[in-house]
Amino acid sequence: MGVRSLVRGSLVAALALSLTGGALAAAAESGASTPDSLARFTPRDTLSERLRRPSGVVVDAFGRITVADEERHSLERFGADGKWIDGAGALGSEPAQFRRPGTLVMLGSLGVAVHDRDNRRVVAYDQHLRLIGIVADFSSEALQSRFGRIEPVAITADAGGALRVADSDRDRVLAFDFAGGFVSEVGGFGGRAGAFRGLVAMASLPMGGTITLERGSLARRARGKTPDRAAEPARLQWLGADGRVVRSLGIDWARAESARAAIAVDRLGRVALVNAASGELLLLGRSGERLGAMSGLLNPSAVAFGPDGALWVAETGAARVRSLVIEVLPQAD
Amino acid sequence: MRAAACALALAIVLIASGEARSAPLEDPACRATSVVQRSDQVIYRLGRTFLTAGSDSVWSRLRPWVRGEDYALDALRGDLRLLRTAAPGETLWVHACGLLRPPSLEYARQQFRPAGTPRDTVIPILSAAPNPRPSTSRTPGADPGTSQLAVTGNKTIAVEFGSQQDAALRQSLDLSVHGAIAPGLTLTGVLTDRDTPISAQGATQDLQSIDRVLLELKGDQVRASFGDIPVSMSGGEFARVERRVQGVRGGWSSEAFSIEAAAASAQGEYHRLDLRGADGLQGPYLLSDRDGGFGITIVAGSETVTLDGQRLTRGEAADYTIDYERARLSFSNRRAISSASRFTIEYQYAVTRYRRSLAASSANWQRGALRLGATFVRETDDRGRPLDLVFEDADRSALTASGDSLAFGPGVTSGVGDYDSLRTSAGALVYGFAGIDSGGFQVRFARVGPGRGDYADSAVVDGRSVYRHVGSGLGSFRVGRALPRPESHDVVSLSAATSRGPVRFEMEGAMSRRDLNTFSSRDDADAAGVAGRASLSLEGQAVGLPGTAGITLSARQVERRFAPLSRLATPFAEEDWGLPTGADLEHQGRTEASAFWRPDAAREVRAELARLSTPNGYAGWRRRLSWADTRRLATRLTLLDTEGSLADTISGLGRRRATGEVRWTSPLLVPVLRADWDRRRTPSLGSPREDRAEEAAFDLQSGAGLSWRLGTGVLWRRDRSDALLGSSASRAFGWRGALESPAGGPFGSTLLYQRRLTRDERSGIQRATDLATLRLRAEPKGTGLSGSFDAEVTGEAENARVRTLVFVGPGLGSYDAFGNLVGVGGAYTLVLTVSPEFERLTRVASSARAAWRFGEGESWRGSRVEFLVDGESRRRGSLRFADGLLSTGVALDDPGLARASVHQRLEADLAPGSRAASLRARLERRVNADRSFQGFAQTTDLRSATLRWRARPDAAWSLESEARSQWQQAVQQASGAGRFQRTITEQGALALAAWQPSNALRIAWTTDVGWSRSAGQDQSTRTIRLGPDLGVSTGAKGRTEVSLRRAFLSGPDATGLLPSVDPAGAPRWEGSIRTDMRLHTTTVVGVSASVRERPGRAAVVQGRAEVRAFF
Repeated sequence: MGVRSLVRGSLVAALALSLTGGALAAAAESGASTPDSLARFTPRDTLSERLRRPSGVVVDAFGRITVADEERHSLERFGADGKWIDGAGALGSEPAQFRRPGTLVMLGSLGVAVHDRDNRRVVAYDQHLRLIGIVADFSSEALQSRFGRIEPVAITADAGGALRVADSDRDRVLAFDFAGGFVSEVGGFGGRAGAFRGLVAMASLPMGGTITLERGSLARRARGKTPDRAAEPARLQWLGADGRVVRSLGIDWARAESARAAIAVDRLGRVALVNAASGELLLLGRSGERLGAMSGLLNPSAVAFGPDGALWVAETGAARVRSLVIEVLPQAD
Repeated sequence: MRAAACALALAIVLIASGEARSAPLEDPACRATSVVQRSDQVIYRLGRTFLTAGSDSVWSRLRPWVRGEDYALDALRGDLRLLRTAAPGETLWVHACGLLRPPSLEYARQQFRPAGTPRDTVIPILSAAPNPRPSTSRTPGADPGTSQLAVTGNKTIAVEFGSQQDAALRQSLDLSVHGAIAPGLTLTGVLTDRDTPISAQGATQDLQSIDRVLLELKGDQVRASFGDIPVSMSGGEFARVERRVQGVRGGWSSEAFSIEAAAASAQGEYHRLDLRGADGLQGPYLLSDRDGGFGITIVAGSETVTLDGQRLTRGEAADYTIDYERARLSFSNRRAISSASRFTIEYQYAVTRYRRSLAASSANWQRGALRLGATFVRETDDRGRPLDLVFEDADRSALTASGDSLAFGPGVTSGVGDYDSLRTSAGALVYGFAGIDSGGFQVRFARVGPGRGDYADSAVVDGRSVYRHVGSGLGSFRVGRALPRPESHDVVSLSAATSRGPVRFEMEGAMSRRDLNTFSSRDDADAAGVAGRASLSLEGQAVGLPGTAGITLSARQVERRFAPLSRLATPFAEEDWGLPTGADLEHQGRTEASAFWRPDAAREVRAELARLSTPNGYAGWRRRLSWADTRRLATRLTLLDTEGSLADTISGLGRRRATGEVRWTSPLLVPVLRADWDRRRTPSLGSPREDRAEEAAFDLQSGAGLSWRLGTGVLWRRDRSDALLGSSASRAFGWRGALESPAGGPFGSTLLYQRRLTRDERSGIQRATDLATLRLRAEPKGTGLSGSFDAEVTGEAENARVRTLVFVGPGLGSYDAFGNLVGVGGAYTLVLTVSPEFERLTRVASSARAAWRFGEGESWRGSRVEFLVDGESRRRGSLRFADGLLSTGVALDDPGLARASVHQRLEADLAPGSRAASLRARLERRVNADRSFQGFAQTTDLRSATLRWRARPDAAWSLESEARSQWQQAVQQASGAGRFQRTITEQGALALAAWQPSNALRIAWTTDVGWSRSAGQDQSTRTIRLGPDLGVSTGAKGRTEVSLRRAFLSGPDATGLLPSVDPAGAPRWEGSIRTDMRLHTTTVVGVSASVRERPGRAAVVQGRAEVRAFF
């Protein structure tokens, strides 16, 4: 009986997977949500002018979009109407130059901070894309002597411009104040909530907290294989502004590889995650409940919410940044 | 039997009742309706009317909504009104009971009409939109005007204290506001106000540049902005102004009338520079103030740059970059700059003299074919609010007496200063530099321009410019304080235009008043000036010819005293008239007649005749004929012939130029052939100077039908110049290639290369200029392999610099013999001299990366091996191929490299998912070389290797261990001081064990052991450093993190790689504590403190307490 159930279950699962796969492919073509989605994502605008490999995106209060391009080693700025305005940066290590810029975050209300990955620093720009300065230089002797080697993998900043850096070398979150001064160190290597095991992405919560994403092992195995109980899914952790763990949640990516992912949080606390390897987009409610999903994105490496609630996704593989209008469907009940 | 019947009946009843319980009947009059919230809507029609009072309930995904607080329901009409800020996209569910068949809300009396009447008097069914209300002028569903502003942001207040600093208050405020404040009127605003010391060099920024406020109000007919905004008035040519200001701007428009006004504090003064390029020099080009002075700051975003008549965009990947702080502009390597390049930069530089205000207004009225316009602009300095200086009575008197001439205040103060007084052989009193704070006078110098002063700036000592006496009239500076003159500048312009049939008439008149010194009424007689222009054009069907034709007659007169707010003449227009670059073409009298014929939309022939006279005596005629055909085989031809003379003393001036282009556009290839022949005679030192240039170029580009972008081209150019003082000739040859793959995809490539060879035909010297961008990328799917190689080549320049060390005696200086800052105990002072001469450099930046991601099992998934090489070099002279991928040996040894850095890293992550053994290995090398100073060179070489092992034996325990080895070497060579070399080796290991029984507690213990030794030392400095880390939740709303380290050192004292004031080695005690407590959902309080203690030194304590509120 047990064997029969197992066989039947496997067949049903295989059929469901094949159907889902077909539906996912169709959804990818049309840019629509996946069938199990409770929210509908409708593509609206596409930015592709002067972009080669967008790796970071941020939208300010006036709807202006700034995009980091890791192939051109530059920042590109677009108006709310989608027209390219200007850019900054080139390959190099001088203050106004980049080596593979990555995450972009709003630094306060008007500034922009960019994670200059291979230069291992965070650089701040104002709303005119004028260089303000280096907020944190992780190669500096002062920081290294105090904290050891820091390998930032993601950055975020809260509404007050206080910077937080996810350090993949020591699996910790370093918090800096709005002026770049060190404030605190949270976490460390470990399996329990409050510690981290492979930080890959991070974002700020509306009331000063932080949400982190850790790389996980396989949560959902490929067809025909038994899930490994020892496997650990990718994990989201909500940290309060006081550093306490508020909530942790396993993320069920269609593919386990999530070494490159990004998170964005809107002012309602909704969380958007993208996985570059699987091309997935997940939308979670403020309590972590799944609101919607979309697949078929081409190497989505960054995500940001606009002031109108639309979601902007940087698709590295398609050399574009798209905005998706979110509509929560009535079936969400 | 009866019992059985009873039992059966009971069973039936029970079953029936059970079914009834399991599937209760739903009241068809009650049901739920969902609505999706929108940002611009507060009333939602449910589609049902006559609802039962009190039967409604509303909830969202997060929580139930409270009637009267969160919403209100119009039970009669079924309108749901939100009383709280809408969350766009969030779904609301409304459950309510009501009539199943509600009657209509309104009825109309039926009136009899004869058959066939088209009007329908039946009330339509309820639509989704609310019914219009006659008493309300707005749409009921739109925002009713109540506060619908969403406010987010943060306020942080922090107090920093420490044993080596006074308590300092830091604060920041960030605020964002968005929403509707009235029907059809939206407000978006942000405010940033912070006290922060971040900058590229770590210096404190001017707070003005950090404080920002920006508000935008948008409506159907009204618009307004407040904050850091651009102001542009372009209604009239003579009153045209574009400024970036801090202030307010508003406008209102209707069908026939529009008005715009602005009142602001001007951030800077407008200036335009017309510059000619230098062969191979992409930048930096220094921007100056109107007096030619440097050291200014450019107002961000105020610049407009044109190159050879084409407007450029900012961005190194685009056309140019600009360093606003240092006022330097550099062109990207996509825009090759040569001596034939002409570029114009319009910008504002930050005001440093007086607060400046700008008031501007313009109005336009149009009715039918008539259009009238008026513009008024006032830009004025507030003479009562000088910046960066305090006026004394003597200063005001000097300004009042100076009229529009330069004014100077006293510049010498006796007392401790940098200068002593001297007597020249002629007996004149002059001042000479005696050393920092070693003289008897404080002396200030003012720039008066080349050949007008007695002093020259000669060096920079401890950040101060040093001046020396060079003789009367031989320098650019004089003793004294230059007193800035407050100015006021008004321009008013009136314009009118009308058209009737094919005839169009346009005219504009303007008057300006510019007072160069509002302190003084002297020289004000010539402050006012006028300008005017008029044009009459006739355009229509060509008589006897196909297509359209037209003629235009125009005239303009700009008086010598008229002062526009922006430059009127197009950049380098003076060259077309045979005038030298920079000649005044703003003030002129010009009449023009032109005619055109367009046989069809793609072809045009145009002829032009113009007469120009300028106040400085130039008079000339210009004839121009042009042809343009934009069809598939496109052709362009322009012929220019100008003749003129200057004050009847120099004749034969002018220009003859012919330019042509042939382009064939096909889907695959687009070949382009261009030619330029130019003869120009301009006045120079009282006689004509002739410049001749011939240029030919051929380009071949890919067409729109190819997804790849390809291009190649060659260029040949010859320049000759004959002038009174000599002649010159040069020949240039260049070629370029471009290849760019489609964006995206697993493989990508971009190659842009330009090479230009310029040969001076007199001296035979040849200069090569290379500009290149190379980007290669590969990421084959399914292999886990990825790689990329990027390189950028460009030409730039730096000021030549000299480091001079002056021996002042042991303990009297702050530097050692090599210029290292050693603090007390130094015997030298350091003098840095920056030469105005530029040194040409070829800059190459490169980055190579190869990575392999592999691993299938749960433990091995995510494993990777990555190799990275980053290089950057600045070479004196031409590019060398090896600079593309700079080796460490070349960086360390090649004296031709002014600066070089190489970073190599090999890193491997193995089995990152393993609980038993996750490994990370890293080999790294960093090499830096700095030979940018004459007579001094410094190289550093750092090599390190680390191997780390991690394990998580169970959920609570995690273990980590790391072994490391490091080798460092620094070499300094200074002329006159010899060679300094130090090598330090270090080995060590770190072990860390962490125990975390729950989310609320984490305890870790770290032990670090290390041995370091300087080359030549017999013994190693041994360091054992250990201590705990503790993280614990304090109560229900807080958390505390504590870290403590104790270091045990033995052996000789640790030494740093370079001599420094900072102590080397680990501190004996080091600890930190941080506590955060949530006071409220929106407010957090944090207190932190850290301490570092070294033997023989006072403990360094730093602390911080902060309150952060989010809203």
